[in-house]
Amino acid sequence: MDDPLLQMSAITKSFGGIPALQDAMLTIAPGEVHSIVGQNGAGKSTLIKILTGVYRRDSGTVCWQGRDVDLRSPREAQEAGIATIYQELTLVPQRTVIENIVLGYEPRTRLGLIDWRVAEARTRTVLDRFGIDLDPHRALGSYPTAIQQLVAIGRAASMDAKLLIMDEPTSSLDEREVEVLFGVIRQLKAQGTSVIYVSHLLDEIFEICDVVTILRDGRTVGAARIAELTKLDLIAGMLGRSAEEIRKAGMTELAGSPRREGGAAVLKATGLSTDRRLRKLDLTLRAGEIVGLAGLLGSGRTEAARAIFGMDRLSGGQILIDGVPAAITSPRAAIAAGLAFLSEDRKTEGIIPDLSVRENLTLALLPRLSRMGVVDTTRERTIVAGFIKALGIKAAHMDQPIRELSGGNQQKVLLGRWLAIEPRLLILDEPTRGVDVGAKREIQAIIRERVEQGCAVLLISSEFEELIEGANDIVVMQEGRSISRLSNPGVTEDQLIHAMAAGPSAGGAA
Amino acid sequence: MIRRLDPRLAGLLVALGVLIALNLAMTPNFLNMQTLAVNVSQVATIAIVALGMTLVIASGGIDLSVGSVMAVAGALAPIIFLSDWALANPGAGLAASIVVPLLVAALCGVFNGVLIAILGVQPIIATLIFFISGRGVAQVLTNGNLQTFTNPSFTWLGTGRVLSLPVQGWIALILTIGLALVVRRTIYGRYLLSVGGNERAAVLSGVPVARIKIATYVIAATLAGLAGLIVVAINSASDAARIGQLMELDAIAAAVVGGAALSGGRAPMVGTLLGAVFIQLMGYTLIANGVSDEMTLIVTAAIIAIAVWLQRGRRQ
Repeated sequence: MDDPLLQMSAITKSFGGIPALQDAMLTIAPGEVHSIVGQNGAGKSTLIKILTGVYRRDSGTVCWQGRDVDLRSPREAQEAGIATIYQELTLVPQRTVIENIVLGYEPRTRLGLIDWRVAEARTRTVLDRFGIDLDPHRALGSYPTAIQQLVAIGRAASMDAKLLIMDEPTSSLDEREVEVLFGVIRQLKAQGTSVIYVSHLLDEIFEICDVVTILRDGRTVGAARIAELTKLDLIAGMLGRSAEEIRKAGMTELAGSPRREGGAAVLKATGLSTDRRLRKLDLTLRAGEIVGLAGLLGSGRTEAARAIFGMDRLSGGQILIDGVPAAITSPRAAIAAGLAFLSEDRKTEGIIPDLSVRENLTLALLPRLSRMGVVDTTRERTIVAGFIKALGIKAAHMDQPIRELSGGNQQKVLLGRWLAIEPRLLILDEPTRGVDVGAKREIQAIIRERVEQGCAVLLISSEFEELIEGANDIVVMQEGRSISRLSNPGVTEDQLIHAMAAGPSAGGAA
Repeated sequence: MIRRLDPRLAGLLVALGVLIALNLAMTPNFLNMQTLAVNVSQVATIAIVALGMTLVIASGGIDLSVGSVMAVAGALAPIIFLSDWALANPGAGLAASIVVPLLVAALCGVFNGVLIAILGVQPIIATLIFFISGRGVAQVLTNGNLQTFTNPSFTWLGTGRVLSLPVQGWIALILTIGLALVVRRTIYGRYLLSVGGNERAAVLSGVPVARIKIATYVIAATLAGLAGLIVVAINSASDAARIGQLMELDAIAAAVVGGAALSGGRAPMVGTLLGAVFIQLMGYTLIANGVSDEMTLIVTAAIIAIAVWLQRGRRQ
């Protein structure tokens, strides 16, 4: 094996006396795609921020290309050849692709002006290398997020990075775009560039990574070649439990008691269409049942949820609630009808960052908590305390701003926001995305509990385990239509994949 | 229950304390009822307008029209109580000369609010419309003349004393406390902060965003109208060309020094009052110690810049 490109050993770091990392290690070989996994709070981002010069370590050594180094700022890290692609894009959407590629490193003419000819040539080289086909003179923002992300990666690679750090790079990509990204990563690898790939999606890690380092409670608890591990091993390592234990309990906490027949139909949608990629959806949701919506990204699953919840105007079809036609023209009307919708986008459609855990949790419940416009804060506090306990929300106190909480805890607060109104139908769009394994199981268990109590759930999930173990029925969507319906018990992952990939004619309508 | 004092507010209180201590040491006759009364009467109108401005800023908007709304309300009042009808019915006339201008001011707020919340015009553009046209309307109402009058009942609003302090100071104080409670305790306050904090999340949670925004511009305009009446009462004269001039900027300055974030989502009412008081006292201190008017403006601006910078630092 080659000498390692990077070797971090015995790294410790505390924040205000609380240790975030104790004895963390990370070794990366040249041309290796390396994943760092762990629950939220395990120290992944702290370790990466120490590597990229955002934080300074308390002790330990960082050996980069055979020499001990001390990177004191992101700029120093970048100059040493460590580039980071952030989750939030850090480029300038209004400017052209060329301007973005050369941003901060513009080639100059003899007069000190920007040499656009060289800039364009450089841009074309980068784009060609990754097989990205676009007009470099157009504004970057006019392209889909995926393309923008690839441009950001191309930009980093063009600066001779030896190590590229990608933090949840696929969170805004659809499957085809993910494939393009993986192609780029494989190409980088072939050229000897190493990649640190951080993702909550284990399937992706198994597909693209060579080696994985597992962190738990600020320590490196293991590092292994991915080929030698199973998914269960990985989860067990992150949780600190044995694989056997988890196998017995199931991969998710969504599995329920045997199917109960004949629950009343809470909502029945027929021929639902909007101008937003929803063509014709038929759906029936019964009390005490989970219906899963499966489909590739872009198949219209989120659009279906938006239509039902009154966010997009219907261009066709109708919604019956308890058998009566309902005019749901806004989320407010949907809430009044007993619907709740947990958006997949926690940050832009979920949290109110500066408000407290308490204020965030009761936002949808507020009308029922107030008399003559005055909020009954005593009752509010009692209710919030109850949810914090029941959902296991980890916060210093209920008046802590929600932005200070980890992603998993924010998600629990938002789930609490909707459970508090005691909805009859709960629409969950990727409820466990971007949430660590421990919180994920807790959230699944909470959902299951509500279903047992008679709530109807529409579950959109990209994780096959959640759909297969949790849903009574799985409606498969394609191009805005429901194309088939699979009924549990007995649905297998192969069946589901087959149904998702099948043409609209297969399987018959739902 | 012990609520932690907001560090921003604490910083402002310390700065005010230092300023007062400096004045006690340096400024002759500082501890004097007259000094207090002068300062209170000058700061009250700014504070009243700034309270409304802070609510608008909390919603994620801005209101440039407050000065023009003051001018319209201020121009209307004398027209009403100098009318033949009001002279015949002094009681009803006085009431009408207060209520009608406030209602007209509220209507201006509805106009702003509808443009912004329903038609989706950007707040700075929407309120610019009335910023420009409102003063014109006020001047048309008064034919561009300075109206002077004597009406002791009305001028009490600007010159009266309660417990030896100017009545408008009490009004500002009561409004501050009242609105602080509204922000903290009512569903409107909670919705306001959620609209300014994350509008899309608020919509999804069933918050009636348009109604909340319109209500906020109505409150801001009504408070501006009240401030316009007070200014006219202080002067016993109404000058449509000058009432409330540059008031929007003073109000924004007070709100920002008080801890409002222009990105929305925060409505520190007590902070706004203290911010207005701080700017006022700063100017007074400099002038009372022989610093020229021109220098005072420059130093005040510098202090505001420092205050804002300090608050940014604390937010990280």
